[in-house]
Amino acid sequence: MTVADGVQFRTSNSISGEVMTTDSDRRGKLHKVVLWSATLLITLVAFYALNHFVMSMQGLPLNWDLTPLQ
Amino acid sequence: MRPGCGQSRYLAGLVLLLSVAFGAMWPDALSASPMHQNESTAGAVQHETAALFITLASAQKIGATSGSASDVESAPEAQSSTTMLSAPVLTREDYPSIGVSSRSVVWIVAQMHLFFGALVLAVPLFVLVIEFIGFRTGDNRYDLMAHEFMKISLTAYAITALFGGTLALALFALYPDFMKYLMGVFGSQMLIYALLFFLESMLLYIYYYGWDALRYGNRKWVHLTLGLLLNAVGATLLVVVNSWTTFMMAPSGVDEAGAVIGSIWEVMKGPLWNPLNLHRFIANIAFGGAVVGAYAAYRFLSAKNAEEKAHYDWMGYTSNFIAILAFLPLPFAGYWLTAEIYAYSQQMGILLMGGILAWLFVIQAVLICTILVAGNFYLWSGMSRTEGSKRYEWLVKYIAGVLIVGFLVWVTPHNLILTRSEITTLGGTLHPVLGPLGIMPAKNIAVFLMLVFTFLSFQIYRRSNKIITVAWEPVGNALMISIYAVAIVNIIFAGIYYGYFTNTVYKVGSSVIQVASTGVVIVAGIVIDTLMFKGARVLPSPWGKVSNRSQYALFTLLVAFTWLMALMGYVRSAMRTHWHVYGVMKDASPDNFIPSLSHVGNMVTFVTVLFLVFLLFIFWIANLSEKKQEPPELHDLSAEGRFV
Repeated sequence: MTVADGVQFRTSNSISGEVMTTDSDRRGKLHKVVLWSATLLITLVAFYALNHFVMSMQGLPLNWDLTPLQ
Repeated sequence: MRPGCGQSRYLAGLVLLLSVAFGAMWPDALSASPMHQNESTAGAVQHETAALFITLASAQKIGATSGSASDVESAPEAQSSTTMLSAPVLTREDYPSIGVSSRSVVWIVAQMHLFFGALVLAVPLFVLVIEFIGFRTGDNRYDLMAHEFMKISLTAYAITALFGGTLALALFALYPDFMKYLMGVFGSQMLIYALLFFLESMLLYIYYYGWDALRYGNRKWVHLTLGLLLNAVGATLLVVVNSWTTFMMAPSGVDEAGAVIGSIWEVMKGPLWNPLNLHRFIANIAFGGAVVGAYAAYRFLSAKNAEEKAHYDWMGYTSNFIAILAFLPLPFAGYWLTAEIYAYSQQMGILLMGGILAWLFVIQAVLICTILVAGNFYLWSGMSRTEGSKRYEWLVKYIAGVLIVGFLVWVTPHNLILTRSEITTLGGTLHPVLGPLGIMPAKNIAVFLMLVFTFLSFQIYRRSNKIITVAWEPVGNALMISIYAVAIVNIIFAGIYYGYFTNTVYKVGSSVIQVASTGVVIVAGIVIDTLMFKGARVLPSPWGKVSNRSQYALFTLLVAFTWLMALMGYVRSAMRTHWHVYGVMKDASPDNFIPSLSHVGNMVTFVTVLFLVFLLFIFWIANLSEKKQEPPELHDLSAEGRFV
């Protein structure tokens, strides 16, 4: 198995027992964190806007912190 | 009636109804294309009459009052000079007695008519779609399945008409004055209804019997057009029928005494008309899906070979898909209808959700949860067809957990029936922990989470037999999971915060946030999956390789849907309490009261069982038509071994 195959490559430190990772593995993890954070953030913003929209549409505006304006 | 006005009135009515029919074909006008669904009790169902009703009507008093109403439509300037008749004030003596409860008689017959009416008008809707898919893809299996669905609908059509005729007779015999008033209000519209009924019959028979003659090439387009016309007429029929029902609940186009002061259009388009149209339209599709699903299960369990099993397994899956997919948006339509009922009459709304009828919503919760659990179970069973499902099996226990917890929250009543000592022990009539679960915010959270997780079952079912190959798969998955997570948090947040910690207006308004969140999950799931499935590798998923247990889930769906229709139809109707036409015409019959819950339960159960018995007959007939007896000579010769 190789890193190029896209398979996670890990080696074990026999003394400390820690799991050592390669650079590409770290990059992969970072990529995942960025990806998940970005999608989660986009979704949160979208639903935040949705809440404001559907409540305003009914004549029930909200404050920025989603508490009732009226 | 002025000489020469008759034709123009009828033409005006016809143009009006055709415009409604065409409107029903547009997606944004779905609310104008309904079907039968919920109905029962004497009062409400007195409107659901069939062709015979019209025939009798023409011999009755269309003249004075209906002529007036129609004159208003065709000649507005003549309104002031037209004589209008008020709703009659009845006494108990005005109702013929036949020794048994008139309400019960009409209740049973009308509910049976509505069950079958819903079926025969819903099935052609999805049959047309299935037929079109078969035509576009060239897959003959779709065509065969669509034709088989129509076979059930055709047998049911005759029974619908029989119950419709019986209902008309029962109504005219048992509620003559009320029917006379109704005929006066709707007048010539009833004749349009008769015309549509004839059209529906003709188109239905041509559509079914012309199937093989118009099967390929351009002829198929002719057949599809016939199907479209059939559905347009069917939808219009139900728009018309719904106007009779909603007129009884929230009359429009009449004054306080019940005299017609508006055009037939104003009488029809009452405040509840479109909400009911939408609710029934969606519910009927779900009901039709459940019925044909039970038929598929029946045929699957009695199949003699693997080929038959595969066919009916696929048919059962398709039916379940239709039933559950139509069922998912149903609560939204229900919310709209209820909101409009509240807006029309708070008293009616409070009786519905806060009075004696509220207890029936607890039973409704049990039935809806049964539907969701059965639908989910069927999908989980179906996942076993493919090895790819192992990737998602771990999710099933969590989905089941949400369904069970949601079910328990939903069935928790607000007020408990307690003894004095129990009240003392509790410190009040409300349980300190369970009390808050008895009100709408908690139930809304439960309902919407159950819908979201049911969609998740659908999604993992569809993904089970696919290996996604698009490069952006990680992004798509991350986005989908994020949408699920945020939507779930949003539904819970809106329910708890606005439901328990803000004023009533925001509490009610926040349910729209929950509706929108659920909608976003469903729409995003369909869009993302459709894009991700492009070029996906499909794993083997042989039809017919499913447990028999899963088929019983399809039977459960049918029973629960039928029971639910009968129950909620009663609830909708009973809101009028002692009025034939709410606020306009009082019901003075011996049955002008809301019956006990136990009586309601018995009646609803009885009509459900009766419908299922008739349905078994239809399934048997459909099966029988495929059997052919060998000619006696050949059989004898074969038995004697002379052909060996």
